[in-house]
Amino acid sequence: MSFSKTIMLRNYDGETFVVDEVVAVEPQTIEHMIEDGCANTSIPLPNITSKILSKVIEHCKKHVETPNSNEKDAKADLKSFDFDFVKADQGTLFDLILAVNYLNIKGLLDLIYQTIADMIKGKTPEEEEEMRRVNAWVFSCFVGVTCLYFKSKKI
Amino acid sequence: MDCGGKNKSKFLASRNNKIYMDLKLIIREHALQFLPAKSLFKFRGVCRDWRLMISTPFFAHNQSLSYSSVSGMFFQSHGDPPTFISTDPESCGVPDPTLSFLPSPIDIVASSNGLLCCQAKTGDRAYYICNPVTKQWKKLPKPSMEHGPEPAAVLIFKPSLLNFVAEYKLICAFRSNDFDDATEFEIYSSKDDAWKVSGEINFSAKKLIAKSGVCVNDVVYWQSSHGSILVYDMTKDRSQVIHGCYSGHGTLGEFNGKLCSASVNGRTLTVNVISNIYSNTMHMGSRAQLWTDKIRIPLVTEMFNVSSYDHFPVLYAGSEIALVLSGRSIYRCDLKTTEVRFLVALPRPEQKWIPYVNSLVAL
Repeated sequence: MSFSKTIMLRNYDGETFVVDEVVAVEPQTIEHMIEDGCANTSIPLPNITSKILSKVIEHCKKHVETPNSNEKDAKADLKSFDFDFVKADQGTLFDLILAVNYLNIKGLLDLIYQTIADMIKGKTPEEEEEMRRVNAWVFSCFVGVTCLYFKSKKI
Repeated sequence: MDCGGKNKSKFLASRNNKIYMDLKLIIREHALQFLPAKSLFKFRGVCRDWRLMISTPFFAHNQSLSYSSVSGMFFQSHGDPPTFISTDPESCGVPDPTLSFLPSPIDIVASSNGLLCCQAKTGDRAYYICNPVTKQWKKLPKPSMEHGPEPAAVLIFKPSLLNFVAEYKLICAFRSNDFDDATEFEIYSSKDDAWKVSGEINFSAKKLIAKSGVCVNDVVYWQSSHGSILVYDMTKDRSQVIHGCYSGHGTLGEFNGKLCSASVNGRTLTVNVISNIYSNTMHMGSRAQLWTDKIRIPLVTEMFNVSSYDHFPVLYAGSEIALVLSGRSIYRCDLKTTEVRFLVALPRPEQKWIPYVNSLVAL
């Protein structure tokens, strides 16, 4: 195994990302796709934007590169990297949550669920219901627009 | 995986629809279990799906696994019922801090991951284990030995994925009735629903400070009034005494899987972590140190402005935060970012406290 195999990821914006296989299998969804033999040309991830995908790849790279040693510094470094990873504005955070959940990245799942929990923790039930309804409306509008867009493009 | 042109738009549209529906699902299925119990009780009112989700025993089990942060402290002055001070009153709390649902007035003795251990003030001084959120409680059978007026007890409860019924142990270190100046141990195991007196007897330990005990990796540590620390290994059934850090009156806790001792020296909060417990048996000239200075956090000047206080006890020390008391004000120190900020003021001065986790664990 002297050469490292690379995997191509093609995303929502049509951009392709070339990553080493060892990095690409961090997300379990991709690992399963590769195992099932669906990764011969490129793996499509139409629901993830470039911005989010590059962040995710950065995270996977960092976790693969940091060896599984007992070095306290390396582990602490990784922890603070993860901590900064989820510091983003609400819009980016939502996209990140959906991407990580879809990709099923073991190390990040608990972190994003905890982040969501921290966001909703202090709200009253009314505010919570409001947030859910508002976001549902925003998303459904987005979905409607997206459908129209793709229909018009005849992709 | 290249599909034909026309079909792609259909897939895309339906997939997008599914994804954004998923955010609601993600929150309900995955994120809710990371919330403290009080928030969850409030969120039962959000919608029917959430109420159903939160009320299931399986959810309570998941929450006890996922939520483990210190949510506040129970305080109790001698003779009075307990009170609860939350680290975040909006999201963490208990319906009845005085624990009046228990059959008799009690003293809180220990706590672990959402379970409290209390001892009746009168009568047979029975032990009770309870969850103050769900108000479930259980009376323990009578121990075979006399534990004395203020037992140094440690409750050990580690939520486990496959254990749907809480499995816990209560270990009491008490002054021996048969030997002078000796400490013996009696352990209750919920699995066997029985007490067992340990064969180990320790002759070097001095008087132990009640409520100071912690358990890290199946080894229990207590502070003694002389500054030393009594160590009891649950698996090996052996004990030893080691010296504490500095003056020896730090607060014991668990920092990243190791025993730590936190204290305020001058104007700095210092957290020391145990590095080599066998340093006293190493060869001469060995550089093995018992304690390593891990974290030093300068405290904010407002904590020292009240000149009548010169003692700043550390209420709690963990892997993420430490809580320091200045007079009647509790300050929260973030051990990662070194940020120190005022948290809450106590209604009256307090002497004894127990940290508590707002978990839904079922007894």
